[in-house]
This record gives sequence, structure tokens and C-alpha cells, in this order.
Amino acid sequence: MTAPLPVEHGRQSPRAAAQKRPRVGVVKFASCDGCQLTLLDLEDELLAVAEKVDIVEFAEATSRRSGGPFDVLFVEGSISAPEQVDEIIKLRAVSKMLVTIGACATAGGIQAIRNWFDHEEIRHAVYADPRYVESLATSKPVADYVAVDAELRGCPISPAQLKEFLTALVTGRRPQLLDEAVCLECKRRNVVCVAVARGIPCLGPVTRTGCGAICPAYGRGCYGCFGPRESANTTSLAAWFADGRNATEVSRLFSGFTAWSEPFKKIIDANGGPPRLAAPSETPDA
Amino acid sequence: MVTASARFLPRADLDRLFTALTADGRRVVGPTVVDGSIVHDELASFAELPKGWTAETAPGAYRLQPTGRDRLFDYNVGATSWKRFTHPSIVPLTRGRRDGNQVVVEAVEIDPPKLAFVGVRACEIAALRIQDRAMRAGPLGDADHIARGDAALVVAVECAVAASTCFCTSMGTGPEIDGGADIILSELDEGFVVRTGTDAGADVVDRLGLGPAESLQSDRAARQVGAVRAAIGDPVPAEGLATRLRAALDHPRWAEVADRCLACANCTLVCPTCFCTSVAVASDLDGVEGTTDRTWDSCFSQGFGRVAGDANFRPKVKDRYRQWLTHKFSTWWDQFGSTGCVGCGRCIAWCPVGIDVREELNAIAPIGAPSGPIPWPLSPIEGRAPAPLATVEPAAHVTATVRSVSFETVDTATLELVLDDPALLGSRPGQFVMVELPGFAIPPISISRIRPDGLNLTIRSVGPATAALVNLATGAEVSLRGPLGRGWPIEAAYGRDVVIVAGGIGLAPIRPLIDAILAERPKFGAIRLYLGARTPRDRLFVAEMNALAGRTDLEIEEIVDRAGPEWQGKVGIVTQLFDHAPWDGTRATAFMCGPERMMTATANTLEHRGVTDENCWLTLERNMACGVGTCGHCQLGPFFVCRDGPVFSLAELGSAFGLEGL
Amino acid sequence: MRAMTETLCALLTQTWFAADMPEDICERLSAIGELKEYPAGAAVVSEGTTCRELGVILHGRIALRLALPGVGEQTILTIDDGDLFGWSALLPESIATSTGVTLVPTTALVFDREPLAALMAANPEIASAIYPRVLVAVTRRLQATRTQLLDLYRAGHEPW
Repeated sequence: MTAPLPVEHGRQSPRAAAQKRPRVGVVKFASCDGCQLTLLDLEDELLAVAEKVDIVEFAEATSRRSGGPFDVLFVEGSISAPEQVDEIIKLRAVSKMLVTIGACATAGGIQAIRNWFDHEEIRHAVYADPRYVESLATSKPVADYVAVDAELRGCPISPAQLKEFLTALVTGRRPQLLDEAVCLECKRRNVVCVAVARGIPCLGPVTRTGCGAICPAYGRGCYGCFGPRESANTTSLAAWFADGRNATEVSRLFSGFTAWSEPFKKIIDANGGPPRLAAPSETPDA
Repeated sequence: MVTASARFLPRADLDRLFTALTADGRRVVGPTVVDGSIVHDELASFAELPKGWTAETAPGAYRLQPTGRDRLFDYNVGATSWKRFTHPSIVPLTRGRRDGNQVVVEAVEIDPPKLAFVGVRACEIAALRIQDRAMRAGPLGDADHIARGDAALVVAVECAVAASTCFCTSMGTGPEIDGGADIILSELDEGFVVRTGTDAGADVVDRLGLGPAESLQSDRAARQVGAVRAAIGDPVPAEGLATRLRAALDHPRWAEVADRCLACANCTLVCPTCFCTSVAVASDLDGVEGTTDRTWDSCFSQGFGRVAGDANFRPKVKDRYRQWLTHKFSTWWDQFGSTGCVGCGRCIAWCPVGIDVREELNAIAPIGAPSGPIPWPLSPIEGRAPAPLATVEPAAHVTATVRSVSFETVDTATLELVLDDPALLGSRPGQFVMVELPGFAIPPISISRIRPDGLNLTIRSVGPATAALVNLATGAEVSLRGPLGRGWPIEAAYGRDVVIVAGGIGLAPIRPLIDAILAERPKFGAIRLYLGARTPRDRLFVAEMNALAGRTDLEIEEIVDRAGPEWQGKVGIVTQLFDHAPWDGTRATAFMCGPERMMTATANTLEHRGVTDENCWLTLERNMACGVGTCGHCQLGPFFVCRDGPVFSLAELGSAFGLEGL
Repeated sequence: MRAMTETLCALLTQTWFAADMPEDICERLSAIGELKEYPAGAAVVSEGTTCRELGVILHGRIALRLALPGVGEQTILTIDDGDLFGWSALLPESIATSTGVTLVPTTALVFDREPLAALMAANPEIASAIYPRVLVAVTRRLQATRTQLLDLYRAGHEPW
């Protein structure tokens, strides 16, 4: 045996770190602000949260602007314009933990449907005079540009998940954000499977849980707003959907808020891209 | 057993049964139509039963259809199983409070509702029994499940029709009902043939003042269920299925079915015997109040096989499908002495992409399939070496106080805990405890020293829960459950040489073994300790190990994976310490603990040195959530690591050790 | 000379390297070997330089090290009695892949690459006795390297 070497002791306790009142910011890119509003929707809890954290930037709630640094930065919205690329890189540099919130920030959002189409054509379709609008050809998730530490999914995000995330943050534990299928939530709630019992196409088996299975509980299929779950086998589900549906109909099922996420995107690509916003005379060939 | 004297309940008098069932405050749960399916729900009266409905089922499809007749039970099974009531999807487990240093964790009181289950089928009776047996196994069982099951009165109904997805006949669970229910009904057009199976059932039926059933009625009832049996046939020949399946662990069909499988967990959640759960932790914003709930989980979710540090024992869907199917039809026999499948067919109908378990079984393990090597012996639980279990029942929620915290390395600390619980003080080397701080996940921690007044736990900080533990102050409290698992079989090494191999934090569960062996030093031959660590700074118990090196009655050598130039000791992998050593392994009993890769390499080297599989003991790490064999997370082939291990011999594990994705 | 060879062979046989080697092969090998004594801290092989000698440690310990910019020297493997060093000498390129430094006074039986190659070329039975032992040494290097790789593949960063 050889002589012991000196040992470095100590490690900051998460509790001690939490007690310092983390500086929290909320910023947005291309999005509808709905996810930020979820934070305001917490109402009762929000005051308690505000005592535990120092909200230094939150456009929806306060005129305070800090520019950082942030212990935790919540980012809403997709990266859709050139200046947003610079901005997110700057924000990442001043944020210890960067958390994307919502389908736009985590998957590119509904606006990512434009990624399949000609950029100029889309610009002219949307804006009367697109000369004054700078935009990228694609709407992409924040993680395509900078490292992301955690995600809150959904369109909009779930208040329960947000509350769990904030609680975990201030108490120094790991938030319980499951990455499993919506199906588990349906079954725990005793919701009868709409796909099996009524033949309604449902993305629940390939979509991440967290919403509380709202849509199936109201008798409609999940449309995947939380984006793909872990091991999302969209290929198999799409093959099942294809029985009695044409490619456009299959593509439409996946062409929602998280269409640009890889597992959904590959189904859309395999089925001829997202359905075009067709004029009445051009209705899909079914 | 079922009484011979059947009675008859006219259809018009059925409500009297409802009244009798609810007379002592019991609530009635039975089938009713909700959202396009027959489900089990609380009934206000029998008017809510699915009169005139049946269900047509097929792989991936379930459709209600009107029958055009007045029968109430003209269907087989619906979307939900009775586990909704015996094993609810969310059950509160504990309420904890952490106020400064003080920690109190209490089990939530169990007050099961008194329910009557009406319309339970033969396969479902089997399922209730099978799940009950699983939840009673192990050192503590699942108290909530047991209480709910015990409080229920079962009113069974024999099937009068067969769905296309039924295969109870193959599984030997139906369709006839000859026991396991309090009351058994057979529905005829004019009413019900009533039999009783228990005194409780007889009490209820006696209150109805029914006349006897005519023998013609009983005959018709028997013919009716006989026709169901004939209609189902024998879709999955079960003879030898358990063995055929375990010989087919590398069948190419696993990958093929994984291509179709969504791993969405529907099959496991509709299954009436699947019992796997997770522990969900919640806390308030102050981190003072913490709760834990037991929630339904599934071996199909990726997170199910994950352990600290994000390692996953079943990363592929192929692994998870194989785990599910082999558990249901093969390893369930090892664990609980029965099939885990009752042939209800729910997993077939409610699979969103229509995977038919019957078809998969007949493809993967058909009758007459060439029998491959059997990866582990049948029913290893029966024939294993004497289990060195503690004689006392494990204790739950014992508060222990931290007397000192000493950092062994930059991320690993030893907590010296003081406690007075006799069960915990009676811990055996190799056992572990579940350690709870309210609000945090509850990790299993190996006991690293057993003292007369408490236990030492050596904990590596790999996440928030373990970080919180290593950062506890003197005087802080934690809540413990334990001791859990099977310890090291020290007696098996009496009169023999001892070889101990430990890697990294693996030295923690090894240390009480060293303590115990040295306390009885004359009973053993030569003692050799081989210790590995990642770097010199990652070595544990350095002063103590150096003191051991000074002893003449044992040999100790250590090695690190890498080191700076100041390190004069050995560098390399731990097997290097003894792969050319001169000792005779046939006289040795080996004990090892470390990363699984290290143990695989060590096992190979020890085998070359002559140590037999029966004499080679190791302790495994798996994702333990309950610690007592009821949550399913730590399953490894025929074992639950927490309950049957974590200490195993290589002979017990067979090729379950090191088999990828098991 | 004969007595010297017998002594060297006896020393060699005491290590795992030659424990199971036929005596005549051990002797013919020892006949071309040279006994060398190194003090602690001696560099017996230098990374990136031509490796002229294959050695078998009779007694001692050698650390195989890599120099990492900004980190300094890291020992990735130590080798002991019976272990080989300088196996690169058997390759046409003969460039050493790490630096070997003795940690304690070390005695080794050392073979010059040319006579060794000639002996093995002329006597396939000697070559077939040497190569499996060289493979054991190389395998050990590989195992040590893989152990380091496992650290690279450890779980990713978690923000909490």
C-alpha cells in the first residue's frame, strides 16, 4: 500500500445554492407568449415562487430588464430571424441553466411548417410587404443553436410541470419530468383509449406525457403538442394509420406544433411533406 | 370450495342482490358503458350494467355492439381490469417533514374501501390471485394492495360468450369458475344460477332467500360455458412454454416485433396482473413537506431500467418487449410459481398497433422449437444456497441521526448514523437501506459498517438526493427502511481461502464483510483483498486500508485506472492484481462488488484461477425503488435484485449475469 | 556463457512469462538476452522514439505514461514481474507508443530487436512461443485503454 494522497473536500450543497435566491429570467423569441402566461397563471404559487427566486427579466410581467447574468433562463419561442441567432448565443453565455419552454422553443413550433416550403413564397403569403421583415428560411428549436439544459414541453406548457420544475429548482432536487408516453397518463386516469375503442387516430403512444392526457380525456386524439417521447416509434404508428388513409392524411396527423422534431419530421417527409394550405378546389385526393 | 347446491335468482329480482351487497355499507363496483367501452366503475344500481351490449375485439380494436337481447354480461373483459381497485394507479405512500435537522416520515394510513366487485370473470379471478401473490411476496409485501384485496367481496360471472382475443383456456384460468370468488353467477335468459364460494358470499346469498336452481338450469349454464371453451380452443399451447421461451432469448423475432412495438405501455397497464410501479416524490416550495406516491409504471418506458448516473439496463425496445413477454410467461413461474398471464386478451385488443401476444409466442417459442441452452436454471429461488437473510423483519421509516460526516473523496462521504431500531442494528454485511429525506428521491444505499449503536453509510454524490445526503450536518436526521436484501454468505467461506475484489464505491458494501471476516479470522484460510479505484484520489477508507496492509494475516493490493507521476502504486485494471498470482482458486470463496463491467472481467479471471461459480459471490446494482420486490424495477431474469439479492453467486445467476438488455 | 544462460533462463522461468515455456526455448531465448538493471526513475522506453529492445521484467515495476498538454504525465498502466515492455520493437515501424519509467529499481531481461527477429524468423517454434505472450501484453494495454474510454462514455451532464 502506498501513502494516502491529500483529498479535496467539499461540494456545494444544492440546498445552500438554492438559498441564494437564484436570478431567473424569462425571454421570448418567435412565439405567442402563451407559455409565459402559464407562469402568470400559477397565481397563488407565483407569489410564493417570487419570494424564492429573483425574477430579473420577464417581459410579460415586469418592465425590469437585466440582460443577465441568469442562474436560470426560461426561453420561449423558436429561432426564426437572423438577429435571434445572435441574441440566443449571447443569452446562453450569461445563463448557468437554460430551459426551453413550449413547443416553439423545443421543437420549432407550428411555424416550422414553413421549413418545408419556399421561403420567399411564404414571406409573400404572410406579409403584404416582406421587404421590411428579416426572417430565416427556417423556424428551429433553440437547441439547434445553443446547448439546452432542460425542456418544458407543450403548447402551451403545463402549469403542473412548471410548478414542479420551480419547486425542484428552489429545493435543490431533480424535477420529476417524465419522458414516457401519454398513454401512461391516460391509463392512470382511467381514460378509455380513443384509438382502440373508437378508431380515432391518436399520437399519444409516441408523444411525451406531461399534459395530463387532456385531449383523450375529452374524447379526441392526442395531436402531439408535447412532441416525441423517448423511443418514439412513429414509423410503426404511421404504418398503422396508413391503413385506410392516404399519405396526405397521415402527414397531416404529424404536421402539428412539433412537426419539425425528427421522429415526426421523418413521417411527414415520407408522406410527401406537410399538407399544403390548399384552395377548396385542390382538396387532397382522397 | 364452491358449494354444490346452486340456487336461482330470477332476472326480475336482481336488484335484491344489489341491496344485499350494499347492506353493510359496501359499495358496488361493476361493468358499465363509458366512452365506448365497458369499464369497471362504481354503480348506483344494477340499472347501470351494460344491458344488451357486447364487445367485438380484434388486435388493436374494441367496438361495442348491441346484442338485441337483455343479458347484462354478454361481454368478456373491458378496457380496465380490477387492479384499478386493488392496485390503484396512484396510492399515497408516505408523508414526510424535514424541519431543520428534524426528519419525520410516516406511512400514510391505509383505509381500504369496502367494495363488492360484480362481474369478475374466471381469468380475472386468476389475475386477482396472481397479483395478490406477487404483492404478498418479499419481506414486507405491498400493504396497500393486500388491504384492498382483503376488503373486497368478489361476485364472479361465468362467461357466456367468447371474444376473439380470449385465450384463458390455454393459460388454464377459465372460462369455468370453480373457486376464488365469494359468489358465482351464471347468466341465463331468465335469470342467474347462483353458487357461493365462501362464507362471506353465503351470508349475502342467504339474505336473498332464493330457491334452488333446477338441474336443467345448471346444465344449461354448464353447456353455455362449455361452448365458450370450445369457441376459444387452445390458441397458445402452454405445455413447456416457460422453458421454450427462456431458450429463445436471442430469437430474431424480438427485433422484428420491436419494430412494430410502440413501447407505449398500454399492454402492461391494461394487464390485470402487471404490478410494476414507481415512487413519485413531491415537495412544497420550502422543501419542508415531502410526499411519496406509488404510481403505475411499465417496463416498456425507458426510464424504468435506469439507475443513478443514467445507465440503462434495457436501452432497446427489443429488450423491453422481451422482458415483458418472458416475465409473463416464463420468469413469473420462478418468482411466484404460476403463469403471469391469464389469457384475458386485453394486451391484444388495447395495443394501438395490434400486436398479438399469441402470435408472438407461437413465433418465438412454438411447440417443438429446437431447444437452445437454458440461460438460468428453472426455479432458482427454490434450489438456492441457504439465504443469509436477517432473521428480523425490516423496519420502515426509522429516524436515524447523523453523528458525523467524513468525506472519503471529493464526492463521497461516510455518514455515521446513530439509531436504536433492533431490526436495523441486526443488519447483515451486504444488506442495504432505503434512505429518505422528505422531498428527495429515495436511493438504496449499501451499509458500509454495522456498529453496535448504528450504521455507517458511504454515499457517492451522483445526483440531488445523494448530494443532499453527503451534505448533511452533524445532528441532522434521515429516515431509513431496512435492512433489505440478502447479505454476503460469510459462513459459505468458513474453512476456505477468501478473495475479495472491490472497485470504486463497491468497497462500501464489502467493508462490513471485511469487518465480519476479521472478527472471526481463525475460521478462514488465506485472505486476499484486491481494490480498484479510478484514480488515487478516488480511493475509499484510505487510512483503514493502509492499516490492513500492516497486518500479517492478510494480503491487500490496490490498483487505480490512472494516476499522476507521484503515484508509485499499480495502474491498470483490477484483474491485473491477480491474473498471474500463484494462489489456488479451487480453495477460495470470492466476494466482489464494483461496476458491472469490472465484475464481468473479474468473474472471468477468477474462473481461470479455479474459483467455481458456486463460490463466486457478487452484489448487483439495479434500479431499486421499493426495495422489497413489489415495484418490479430491479428485475433481472428470474430475480428481483432487491429481494433475491443484491448478493448472488455466479451459479445462481447463470447467464442472467452479463446478458445484454435483460 | 552456458551457465549464464541457464541462470537467466531460471530467472525468466520464475515469472509468468516463461512459467509454461519449454525449457529449450527458454534457454535459446535467454542466450540472446542481456540482463539489465535500472535504477528507479529510469526511462526504459520513450514515446515516439524508435524502440530497439524488447524487455521482460524479472523484478520491479515500470509505469507506462502519456504526456498530456496541460495535464502533465499520466500513468495509464503499470507493468510488473513477467510483463513485457518495448513490444513495438517487434514491429517494422518500431516507434514506442508510450514512455516507460521504472518506479522501483528494476531488473529486466532485454533482447535487441535484430537478433530477436532473426532468431524468431529462423525458428518458428520460438516465434510461436513469443507471440502469444506478446499478445497478452498488448491485450493488457488495450484493456487499460478501454478502461480510460469508459470514463469518456459516462453519463452526460445534468443541470441539477
